[in-house]
Amino acid sequence: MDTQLKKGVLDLCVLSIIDEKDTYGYFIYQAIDYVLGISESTIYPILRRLVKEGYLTTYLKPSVHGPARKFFKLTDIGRTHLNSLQDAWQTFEYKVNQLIGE
Amino acid sequence: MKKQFIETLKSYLSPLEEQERQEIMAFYEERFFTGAMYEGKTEQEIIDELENPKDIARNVLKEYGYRPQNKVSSEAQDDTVHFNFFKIFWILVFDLLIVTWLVPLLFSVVISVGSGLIGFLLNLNYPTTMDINAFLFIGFSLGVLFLWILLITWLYDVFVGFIIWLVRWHMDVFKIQGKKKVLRFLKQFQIHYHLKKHSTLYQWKQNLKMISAILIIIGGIALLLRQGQLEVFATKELASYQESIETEEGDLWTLEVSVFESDVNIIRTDEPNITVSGEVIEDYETMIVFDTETNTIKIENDRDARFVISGFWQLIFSEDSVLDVYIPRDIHLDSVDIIAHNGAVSINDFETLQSIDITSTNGAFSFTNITGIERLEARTTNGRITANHIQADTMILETTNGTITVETIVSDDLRLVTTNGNITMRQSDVIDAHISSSNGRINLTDINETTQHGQNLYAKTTNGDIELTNVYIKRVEIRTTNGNLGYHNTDRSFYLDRLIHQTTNGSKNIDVPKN
Repeated sequence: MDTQLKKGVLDLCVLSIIDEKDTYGYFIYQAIDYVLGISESTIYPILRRLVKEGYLTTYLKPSVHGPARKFFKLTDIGRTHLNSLQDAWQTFEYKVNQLIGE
Repeated sequence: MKKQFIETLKSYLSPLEEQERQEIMAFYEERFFTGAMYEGKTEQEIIDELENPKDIARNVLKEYGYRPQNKVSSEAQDDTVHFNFFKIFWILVFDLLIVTWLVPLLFSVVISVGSGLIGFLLNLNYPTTMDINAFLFIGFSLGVLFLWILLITWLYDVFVGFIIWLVRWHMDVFKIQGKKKVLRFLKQFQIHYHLKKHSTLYQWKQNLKMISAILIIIGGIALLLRQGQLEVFATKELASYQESIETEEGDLWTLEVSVFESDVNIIRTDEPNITVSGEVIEDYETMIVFDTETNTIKIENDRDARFVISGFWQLIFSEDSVLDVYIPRDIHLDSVDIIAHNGAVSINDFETLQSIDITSTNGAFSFTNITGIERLEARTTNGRITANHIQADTMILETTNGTITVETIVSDDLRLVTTNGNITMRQSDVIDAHISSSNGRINLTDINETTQHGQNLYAKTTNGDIELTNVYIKRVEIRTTNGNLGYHNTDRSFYLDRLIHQTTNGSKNIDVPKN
């Protein structure tokens, strides 16, 4: 897949998962891997980058069993970004469908 | 096992910044906890699930934009250098003929043609009167000037680019290493390289391009439509001029001068003739008339339909036209009337004159040794006025941007006015004096020290000090807004009738006895 496209799609996936429910890195990886079969080492830098760009924030959530885990949460601009990515994806999907005669 | 995995991964991630690396490591640390705690997996099981550290590192680094390290280039490993002697021959021919001869020639031709054009524009006869033609022409000239600046920078870049190309070619042919480094270094010498890096500079360059295009197009078209006036853009040429007339002792003459761009000096001579001589502007059709019926000397020049902007460039660059008027000592002048646009005026050594009336736009005035005159009136916009040893019943000296300096003046009614300049008066005797400036100091020293005391002095400025020393005038009013006031008389037996002094933002140092 084209890197730019892949990047956008993965951003969209990650943000959508977190939008549904605040969650931690490994869960996000598993959710995407389940559908797209992606490597773990690709997801972590993406999470890091999204935090850096201000779309996500993190907080530590204590757990009963072991050390606290880092949870990811969508920020306001993260939500706006997600909406624009969703729009872009839908337009893209629609156009590709037209092209391939769905 | 976990520890070993973590350490290995850490070392592979070493190209990352420390913080970034720690963030990524934290994910994997957490991964081990989660696997162990929530899913009950062993460390080995988790490691088996994960990719090996090398692959992880490669993926991560790729996400961060690191490319895998270059292998040693094959070029560098190639020890045997093959020279192509045919290529070397051509490069030498090219260097000898093109680089050392043709290219410099081309550049110098372009530059000299451009400079010639600019030089021509700078030497044209620019008008003083700011009519529409003048604006169009100045706009057109500025447009050409801007365009020339742009062209020069572009040409310079082309020249540097050519050198870069040459260096690259030579390095290729002679198989010299480190090409990239050298070329990157050379690129820094191009103006374009820096413009690209600073967007504001680039924007300005674009703006300049637009501005010059607009100026040239609008100015050019408008000037073409007014072609009749174009032909008088000729460069100012000076020509020598001399005219005289014989006079008899005791004659009474009147002098009327109205000239553009010429200094006028009125000088006493021991010769029996009135002589007008000097350098005049050829195109201005200078006319000198000695009218023997009315005993009038008329000096005029004419530049009526002329497209002349003298003020700007000419004041700076070209030499001035000068007219010297020699008046024999044994005749009298009744009145002197001078209008000199952009010219300085000096009058020396006269007695018993009716009146002197002088107007100029950009010219300095100087008067020396004039006595027994009823009225001296001189007004200029940009010029200094100096008067020395003058005795006039009424004396009015006005300038807008210039200092006024008067010394040994005797006058019943004196008026000195400037807007931006200092006023200095020394060793003078006045009855009524009105002195005003806006942005300048006023300095009066030794006024009416020997003769009878003066009646009224009014001195006013806005931004400047007023300093009076030994001023023996009965009623004094001094005012300033932003400046200090000082007044001191040595003769303690002199009492003022009235003293008004006022400053808004300054100090006062007044030390004079008062009735």
